[in-house]
Amino acid sequence: MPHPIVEISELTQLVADHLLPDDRQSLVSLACTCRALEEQALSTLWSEQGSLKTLIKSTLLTGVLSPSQWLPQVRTDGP
Amino acid sequence: MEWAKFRRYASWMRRLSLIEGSSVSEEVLYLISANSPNGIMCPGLRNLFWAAEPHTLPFYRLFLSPHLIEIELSFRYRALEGEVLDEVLSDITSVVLELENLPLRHLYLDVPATSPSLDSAVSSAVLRCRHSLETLSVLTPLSDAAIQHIMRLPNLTTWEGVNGPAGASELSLSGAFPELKVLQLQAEASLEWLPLFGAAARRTSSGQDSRAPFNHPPGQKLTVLECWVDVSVNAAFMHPIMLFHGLVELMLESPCSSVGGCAFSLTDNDVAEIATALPRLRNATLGTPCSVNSCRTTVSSLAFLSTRCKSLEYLGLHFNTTNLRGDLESVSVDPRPHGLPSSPGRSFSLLMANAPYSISEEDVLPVLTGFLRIFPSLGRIYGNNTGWRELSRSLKEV
Repeated sequence: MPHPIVEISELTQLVADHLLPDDRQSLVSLACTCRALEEQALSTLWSEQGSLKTLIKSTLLTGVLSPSQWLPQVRTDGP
Repeated sequence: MEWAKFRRYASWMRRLSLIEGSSVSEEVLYLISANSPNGIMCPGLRNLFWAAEPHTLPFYRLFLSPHLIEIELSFRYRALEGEVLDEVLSDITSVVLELENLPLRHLYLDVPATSPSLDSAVSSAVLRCRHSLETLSVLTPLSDAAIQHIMRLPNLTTWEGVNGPAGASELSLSGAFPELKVLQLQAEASLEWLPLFGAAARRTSSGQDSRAPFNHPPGQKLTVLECWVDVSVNAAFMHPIMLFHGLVELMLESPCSSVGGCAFSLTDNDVAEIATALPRLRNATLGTPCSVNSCRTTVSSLAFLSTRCKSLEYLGLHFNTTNLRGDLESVSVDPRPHGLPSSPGRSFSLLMANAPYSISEEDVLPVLTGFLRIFPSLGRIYGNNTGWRELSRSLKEV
């Protein structure tokens, strides 16, 4: 049984928000602490992203895509 | 299994930045599109910052969540022309048309060109989002009709544009921009907007426009004004700006290289009037200090700004440094406490950029003493040559 305090989503959200964006590794650790914290920590971890690459690497590269597939093949005149 | 995980993680995204060079291939975008419910990858997305590339633009629907409140779309491939450019503009127009149905609060659009259909789409999006829009930055010329819409946005607090309303009169500015706090004018926009604002303010103050609720000058809530101009800055140019008495931040960039000589034509008296008219200034950049050193403003201008703008924390002023030590020693500074207070908790910064200056060792202390007499809380001097760097280094020791 998780401690009752981790079932108060407002509190766990505050903890997760406090860690974002400076301490993403701690958010990962928080997600691994217990199932009650996993969803909150992961959703906060994924809420701010700087590209699609992390998402693709974490999900599709294991079975859907090969690394050579997901990088852009065609580029026109750059900026 | 992988797609379920992908969709789960994507559903948590609220803020996504796609910078140039970070995109994935068309093939992957196509796969994502085919495996996302309703073709939307991140259904909970609220803030999107998208530096689009030619191969990613056609997949714009992936990112248009129904909850988007902020979108920054930039397309920096300026060399495109002909059919390729038409295709890009067509895609961007499609994106803008989709924005009509979103509760947008902040819209930034930076694209290489415009077309009648894009112009019309922007006007339409502005109209549809008129009650929610707070920030609008469109770095492409807009039609008069689009600008007329923008002027009437009831909650707009920040507006950045590159052109003004051609052929408009000060009458059309009655009641315009009711909540505007930040105005950023690029290229020709300053020359088109500022005289209009000035004329409208004069009309109001002379009582010619007494119709409620239009009996207040436009831009009366303005606190930040940023202008980038490529013309000579003179008293006539500054006059409308001096009507925005609540300005806290004024940035006026006028690179001298763009006019083939010194572009700064203000005098010390002009700066004194500006300082009197804008007493709340905290950050001020007046002109872009250049290497020509033929401008008529001197150290006296620094003293006027110091004594009349008591909240000043940052100043970049184009002034003549030919006889800096002599000017600093002879300048008259109002006795304290009327001038800029010497506050130990607040540091004042002076930006000299490319202003020419070389200094001998025996001049360092008198020059610093002169500056500190004008700005007692002077903490940093920023400049690009050895003279300013030497002063800045010595300032830390003082």
